[in-house]
Amino acid sequence: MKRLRLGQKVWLSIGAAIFVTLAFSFLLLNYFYRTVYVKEVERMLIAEGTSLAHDYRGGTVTEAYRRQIEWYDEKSTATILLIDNPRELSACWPFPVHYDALVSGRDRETLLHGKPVIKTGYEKRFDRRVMAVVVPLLDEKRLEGAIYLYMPLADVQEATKRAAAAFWPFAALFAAALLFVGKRMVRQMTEPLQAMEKAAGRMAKGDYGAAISVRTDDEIGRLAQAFNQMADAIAKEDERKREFLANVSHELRTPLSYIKGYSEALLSGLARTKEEEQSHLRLIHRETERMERLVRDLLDLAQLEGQSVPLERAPVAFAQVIEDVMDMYRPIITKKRLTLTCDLDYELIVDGDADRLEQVVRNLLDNAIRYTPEGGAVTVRLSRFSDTEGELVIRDTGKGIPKDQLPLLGQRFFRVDRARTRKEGGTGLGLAIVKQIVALHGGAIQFDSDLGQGTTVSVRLPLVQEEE
Amino acid sequence: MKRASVWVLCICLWVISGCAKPSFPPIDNSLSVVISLDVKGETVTFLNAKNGRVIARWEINKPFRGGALSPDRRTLLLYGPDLDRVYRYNLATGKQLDEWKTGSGIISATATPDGSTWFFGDNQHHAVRVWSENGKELTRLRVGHSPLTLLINDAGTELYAIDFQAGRTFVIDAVHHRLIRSFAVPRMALGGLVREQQGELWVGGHGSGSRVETNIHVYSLPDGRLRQMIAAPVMPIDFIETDRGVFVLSHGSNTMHRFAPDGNRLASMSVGANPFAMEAAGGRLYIASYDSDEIIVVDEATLRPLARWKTGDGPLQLLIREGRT
Repeated sequence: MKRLRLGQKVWLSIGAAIFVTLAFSFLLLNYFYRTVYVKEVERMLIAEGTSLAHDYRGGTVTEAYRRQIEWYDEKSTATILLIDNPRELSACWPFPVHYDALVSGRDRETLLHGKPVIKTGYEKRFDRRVMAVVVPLLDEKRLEGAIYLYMPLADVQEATKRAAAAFWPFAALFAAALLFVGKRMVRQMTEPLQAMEKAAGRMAKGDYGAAISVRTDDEIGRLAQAFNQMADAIAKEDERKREFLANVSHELRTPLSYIKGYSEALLSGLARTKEEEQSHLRLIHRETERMERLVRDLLDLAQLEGQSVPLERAPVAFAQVIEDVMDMYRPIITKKRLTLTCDLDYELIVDGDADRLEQVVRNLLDNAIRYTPEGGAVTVRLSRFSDTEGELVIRDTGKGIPKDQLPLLGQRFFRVDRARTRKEGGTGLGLAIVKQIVALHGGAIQFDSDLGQGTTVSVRLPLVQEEE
Repeated sequence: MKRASVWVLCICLWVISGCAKPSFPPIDNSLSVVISLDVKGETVTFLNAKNGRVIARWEINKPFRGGALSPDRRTLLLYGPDLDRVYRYNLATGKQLDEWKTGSGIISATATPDGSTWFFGDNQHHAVRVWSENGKELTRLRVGHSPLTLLINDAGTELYAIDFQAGRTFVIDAVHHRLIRSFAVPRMALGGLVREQQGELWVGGHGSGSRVETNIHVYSLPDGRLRQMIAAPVMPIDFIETDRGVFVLSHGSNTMHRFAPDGNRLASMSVGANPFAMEAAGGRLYIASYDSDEIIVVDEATLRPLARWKTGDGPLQLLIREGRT
């Protein structure tokens, strides 16, 4: 069996609801109409009967009065009988006369009290269902006769049928209009869902261009919007992945081609002298190291991003860490004749992973030293930023970074000057790793620079809160 | 021990009070009373025959349909087709004498003038049942269907059972308790008058089906032949013969007719609302008006209404009990 679509289901539900509502309204209408109509007929019969009884002057029913009733019977829509036969009036009621009188013994009691009798149902005498009213003709306590007015119930039902005949065409028109509007509404509701379904199918095949039109501001509209955003994000992520793979292969290819070239030269005996041979080997060694660094950084980054190795957080005397790293770089600083200014607040205890924090300082200092020309200055300052955060600022007097490229800093393999950096030995992953570590610590990193202005990197890290 | 005996006494009292027959206000023997059997209200109303004052009203609370006085005028019998027994009350004490377990279906009753034998019409067994004054059933005579009217001659030798549905009158030997003969009468015949001197039986009725009875049928007593029909519209159902003639009550037209002994109508008067019963005493006629719950007292000579006395609900039958000094 074919499975129904959501739109069909909703439309069917609307259809069923309309049908049930109409059927219920019809039954209700029928009921009220019948009740009201029957009441009206009953009221009319009583009024006619009472009015006719007013003309009765007492004593035995006269021939003139009988003729008057007969005349009225011809004119009236109801059938009117004048009963003066004591047998029909159940005058012999205490005796078992075995006669189905028009007025039963119990009815006679009511009539004797001057009240009309109302009967609805099958009447054997007329062999049909009737609505009847009996009005007494009383001469003091004597029941001299009764006026029996009746209408076949079929006439009453006929009136209900007429009401139904008027009801159904309007109901059909109403239902058709509702179904038409309902169908449009359902389409409006389900179209974005169908578009999403198709888009998801396309995305599974690698086409990320979703672009579902958002028409409404309801849940479905917002879902379509979210879907579009998700599709964009996936598309961007996919793009980044491709770029990353391209970058990785590119970064690996360069040292590999060096290694391949120089090793082939050595093997084919192109190195003429021992020194030349040594130089080739050094180059191969340097490129191998660079590949090693690259692979290590990639692994590091993968670990940090995947959070496969959690941070080992502990109170860290951050100033000491910075000092240790600076000690490592002192030979290079001296060699490049850089001025290193240091202003460290030894009071600050950072809540973090000491090794990772060292990596942060190393990478940042490495960059600062690397991009600062000889004779330049590097300033390192650690201070309290707020009650909860400490701030590490590393400023250099390097050539700076164009303002428009600042947001790209920290992306994997992003370099301001690709050729030079590779020559300088960077992997292009340092800042990405720093950014990731700072983020994992719940801190923040900010770059401030412009071409020829030097670069300032500010890192804010959470401090250990002293217990009160 | 003392407490136990108190308990036993209490239980005995309770049993005795439960078994005790109901008693009603007594009716003084010296008073002449008109007794109205009000079937709708299930009461018996006793009215002073002189002034119509209600002497007592017995709340019977049983669906009785008719009653009879014993010939000695001391005992009132009440019966009904839906009662399984006949109740007998002593008027002077107001106490129930006993119950005759007849079974249901009793629709009429009369006694021989000496009071030794009772006849009951029974529409369940379709019989006239003969009982002794001691409450023993003597015999059961099968007749038509519903012997609703029982008439006995003055000598107490012949009983006429006019059947309501079978359309026959059965003549029964009241001494030897056997059926003598029967003859055809109209269906739904009700009420009659035995006129032994004229050798006639006058029979009234409702008329069957939608046809209403407007005539009195007069039959010859010796052979059951229809002698004549006397117009007495509508539905003549009760008859009284006095020195002043034959009085016939027609309930369908609320009319009382007075006839000469030869059947010649002398006068008619409009009376009551659906009157079913009539009795005569002391120059007066007492007519029970069923729908208006009253007795209309009419002067026999002038046929002028003398008084209207209120009864219980739905007086269907009247009985007269003369006072004794």
